[in-house]
Amino acid sequence: MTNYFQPHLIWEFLPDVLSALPTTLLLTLVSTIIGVIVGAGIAYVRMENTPIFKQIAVVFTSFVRGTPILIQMFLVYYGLPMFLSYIGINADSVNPLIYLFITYGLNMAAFLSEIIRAALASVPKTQKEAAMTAGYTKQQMYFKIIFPQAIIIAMPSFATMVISLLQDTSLAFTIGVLDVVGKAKALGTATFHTVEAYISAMIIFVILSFILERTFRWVEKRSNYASRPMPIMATNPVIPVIEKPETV
Amino acid sequence: MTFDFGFILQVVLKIIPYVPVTLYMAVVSLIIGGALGLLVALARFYQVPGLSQVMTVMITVLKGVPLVLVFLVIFLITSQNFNNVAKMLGLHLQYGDLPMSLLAIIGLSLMAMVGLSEAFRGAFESVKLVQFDAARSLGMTTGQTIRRVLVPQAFPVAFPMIVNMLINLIKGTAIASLVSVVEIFSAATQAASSNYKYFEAYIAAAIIYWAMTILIERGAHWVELQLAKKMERAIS
Repeated sequence: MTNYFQPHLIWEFLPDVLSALPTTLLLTLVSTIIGVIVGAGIAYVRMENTPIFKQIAVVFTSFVRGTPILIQMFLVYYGLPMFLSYIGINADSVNPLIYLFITYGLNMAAFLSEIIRAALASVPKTQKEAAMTAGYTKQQMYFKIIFPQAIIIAMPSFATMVISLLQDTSLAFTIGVLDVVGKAKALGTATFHTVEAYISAMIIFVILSFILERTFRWVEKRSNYASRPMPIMATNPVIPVIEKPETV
Repeated sequence: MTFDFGFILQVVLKIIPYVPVTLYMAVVSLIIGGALGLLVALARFYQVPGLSQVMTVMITVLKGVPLVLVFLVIFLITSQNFNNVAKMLGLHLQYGDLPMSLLAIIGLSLMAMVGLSEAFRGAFESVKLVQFDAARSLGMTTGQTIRRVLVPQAFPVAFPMIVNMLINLIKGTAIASLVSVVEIFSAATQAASSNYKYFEAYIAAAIIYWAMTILIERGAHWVELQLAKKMERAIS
């Protein structure tokens, strides 16, 4: 019987499964970029109270947060070709990766928009006032004062989102994309050792998540100005110490 | 292909009977995962020698595993070995007798344990150190401190995260459908298999999930208000 669990196969499968790693990483990276851009747009629309767009953004965010990503993926996979055929485009030749970029990108956008909104709102108002008083233009105020502080606040949640996106990409195999899980599945079907192949994929995901988490934590530490000692500036006010007389 | 509104309604009616199954799997997993997560969080919070390190490694590893792989491995292992193991133990059970929701509950409980143990740990950290000094000065044992001081104060902090986990578990049941667990998602796929109107069927499923999430969020918001009131009274 060769069908029993053979632990050594896990290591033998690793290089093969690793060959699909670029797909998984590409999915994560592109979706994150789409998510940041669209998410910033959603956050802007909601904070500026742009009519109609704001309502669309609210419904969209609620929908994405309220439904499983698996369903969102299938909605895009079946819905987009339908929509394209209405406007006369044949979607048969579309790379399935495109569907995944759209699904994961929009999913990220919804979650990131909330994070961005919360981060911008948590920068104290006095910072804005101070920037205005100092004669900053609006652009300078946002890029030099507000964004740097908001990014530091948003960093931990952003890291969590990217890591959970990485794990969500493991569903890509359901529409036939050869990512790490898809590759493991193919290997497993070919060799009848599916469990071992999936465990190889698991190991890759565990290591990737760990590396991502550590990297983000390192970046957080590096960018946290509050924990660094204050630089001594020439203009630091020197508070004169007035000694009290001993006897009254 | 044309868009069929009527079919969405048909599918909605067809999959509503699967809502209780989905809720059942999510709630049971939340309870099992919550209990395990509480133990893990306590072990790590009190830094129980040995156990604490083992739990830290275990959670770090499990945190990195995608849910779908957990389901696939559990499914494959049980489907390949259950009959042999049952025969060895002298049980008159076949794999087919095993309720499929059990597989989902095992996987989802693991997910809940990982998420909730982190949530509880964070909530424990939020309890002020003087509370422990006070408990000790009153002569409370560690067990009493956990029951009367730590958990009651940490619970309101962890509550939003528990609700979030419940919603994530409900969404996770959709993934369980990939390993032949029957619930809303697979019922929708089933409904569309005769006429290939998958898009409409998945819209129907999405509506159901969406409605469930909104209702749970509303309910949780109300409970949070009550908890806040209670905390206020406790402080003043």
